[in-house]
Amino acid sequence: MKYFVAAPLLLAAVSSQAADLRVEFVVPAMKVAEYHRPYVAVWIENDQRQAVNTLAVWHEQGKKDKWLKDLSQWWRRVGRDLDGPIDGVSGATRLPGTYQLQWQGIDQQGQALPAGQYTLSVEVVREVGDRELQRVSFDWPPAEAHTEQLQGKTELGQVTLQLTP
Amino acid sequence: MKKTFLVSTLALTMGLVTMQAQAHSRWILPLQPIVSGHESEWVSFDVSASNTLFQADKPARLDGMVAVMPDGSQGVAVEGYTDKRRSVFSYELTQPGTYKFEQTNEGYMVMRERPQGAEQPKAEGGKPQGEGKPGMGPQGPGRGMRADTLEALLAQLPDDGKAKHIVHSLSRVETFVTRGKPTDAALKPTNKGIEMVPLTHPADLFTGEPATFQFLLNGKPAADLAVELTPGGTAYRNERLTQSLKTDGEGKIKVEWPMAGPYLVEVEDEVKLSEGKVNSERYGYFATLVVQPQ
Repeated sequence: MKYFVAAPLLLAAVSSQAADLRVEFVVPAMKVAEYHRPYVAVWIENDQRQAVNTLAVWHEQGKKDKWLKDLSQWWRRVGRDLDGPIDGVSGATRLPGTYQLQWQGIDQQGQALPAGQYTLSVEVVREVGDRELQRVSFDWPPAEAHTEQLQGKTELGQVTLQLTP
Repeated sequence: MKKTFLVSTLALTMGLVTMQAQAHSRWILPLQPIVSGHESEWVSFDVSASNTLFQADKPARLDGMVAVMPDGSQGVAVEGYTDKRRSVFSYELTQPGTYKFEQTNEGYMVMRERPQGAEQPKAEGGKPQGEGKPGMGPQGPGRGMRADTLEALLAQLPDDGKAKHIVHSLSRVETFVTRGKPTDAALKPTNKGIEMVPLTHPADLFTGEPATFQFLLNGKPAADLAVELTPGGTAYRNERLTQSLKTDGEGKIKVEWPMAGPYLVEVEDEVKLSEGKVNSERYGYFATLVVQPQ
């Protein structure tokens, strides 16, 4: 299996915090006549459903962000409040494959977040295809090592959340 | 009452619909209710009156259609095209934020209150008396006359010593479009007629999340007001799925969305007046809201 490691993983690697969340998700290959690479957003919300950190936004570049609204939950929670792309987070759409992202309890500005319940969201929308949102809640910081798996339905394959204290 | 009001309002304000028409819901359907992107963007609208939501039926004129801009100022006149069964227009969202597109219609007309259950008097041949003659509605002299202002109406009325039932009608049809971050300035009420204060922002309507709206009548919370909400697509299902709600003491309703898509909000109200030349005030409010899936 081939891994594509997104930029946040590299950034997160320099963080001094030990606890760590890894999310691995599969963007499945589609047997369709007209395939467009999906838009993908991965972000963390606090227990008030406020987004505290976007780990990835993959979208077609150079198109005035015109279709970002189709990531409707991410758009509503994060995108519409932004003045531009998020450095190291916004990127081009990707091919089907398995992707991994990492988070270490920080907000978008790199500040540590308080302990509490958080939710990871993975939203995928494909032109001429479906839209899918998977959400999984977890306690941060993790008290013990914990792995959770979700099975996506259409635009997502398996989503694995791995928490390490 | 409902039927009478709707027919009158339509006839008064649209001109294209005859008195014989049945009640129709009026609407402005935004084809791009949520817009992303940091540059100005065009959005398009269908405008019609129909009972099958949101399939265009009766063409609604674009006269008086305005855009209230995110900064609260009124946008340039909205121009479009009136087709056989709908009007269409497009508008460029030059500012980021929330826009309101609205059409208000106001007028005065003479109607006679008909006792409940009474039939219209028929002339020979079964045709209502006086039909088709200006100022001679089926109920006698003056019936059917209308004007934009009370003064203009009074000036037209025949001085026959008979009491006239004068109705002041004020209706509003509106919808909302947001580019980028939602804003509130365009949602500010004008305190005229029935208005909806979207306590849940129109860009924040999602299935599974109840929304709250407050209704005002001439700027004051309208308690015990009947509000109907119907999701679009009525042609493709057997149940109309209209929710009939009543506002609480603060004029508020809480709405659950059974499905995503555009909804029509409809409110009608009549206030009878005991003093002055106007005998009753009739109000209408129609708004298209678009609900997104989770």
